[in-house]
Amino acid sequence: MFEEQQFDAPARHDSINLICEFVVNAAKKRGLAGDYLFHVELAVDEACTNIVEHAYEGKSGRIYIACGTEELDGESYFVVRLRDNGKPFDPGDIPPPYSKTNRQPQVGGLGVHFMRKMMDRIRFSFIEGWNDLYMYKKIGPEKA
Amino acid sequence: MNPVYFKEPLEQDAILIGVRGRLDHDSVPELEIALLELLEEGYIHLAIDMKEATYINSSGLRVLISILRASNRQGGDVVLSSLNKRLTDIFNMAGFDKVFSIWPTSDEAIHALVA
Repeated sequence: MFEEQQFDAPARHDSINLICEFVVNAAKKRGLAGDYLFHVELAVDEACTNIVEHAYEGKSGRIYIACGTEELDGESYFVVRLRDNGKPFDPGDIPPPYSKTNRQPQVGGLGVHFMRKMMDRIRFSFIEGWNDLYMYKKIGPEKA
Repeated sequence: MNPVYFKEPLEQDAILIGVRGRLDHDSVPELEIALLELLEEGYIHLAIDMKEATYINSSGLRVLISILRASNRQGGDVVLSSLNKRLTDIFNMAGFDKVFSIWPTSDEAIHALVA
């Protein structure tokens, strides 16, 4: 069953640490540990930063957070859902920070790159004025 | 908490700096100001020890790359040392391990900077 724990906070940079703390505690309760918690924290940090800066563009708004677990293809995942009603912002529209010909890191797009790398799956939709981002982390043994 | 917790001038235009804690959106404005001030003071070669840094996100990386570019424009360089495993993973994932000279210890970083 998803959305076992919910929380919301003003869409401001100074809310992000609180949101990360909420999500990390929820992840701990569902068996994530060690580096996996760090991965979830960084992904949530970057996703919330994008909501504040790109969806709400610094204007007032709220971020709605829900955490839970979900079974997918026989695997158990910790799931974080982040919703906002700012401008549509699809992380899939952000190109990777590298091209095949240019290995110099570009600072733009790094946040979304981290979200993709840190989580096992990301799903996004924009429906009836709401950005709706789901991020999945497999519950299993911590990576070495 | 100021992320820069010590500064140790080395040679004429080189300095060792220690940064600590979380390098995220809350702390990086202070970090950027501190590092830009050092560049303005003429310390164009910066060795940044990150032994006490526990976290970095894209905001922290943006500041480091901006300081590296500012230093390079003045003929200087920025080297890093003592990254923990998580920070090392982030640098590798961002491709910043190919941009920064990263050393296991501050002594090695200083040697690389002033050699």
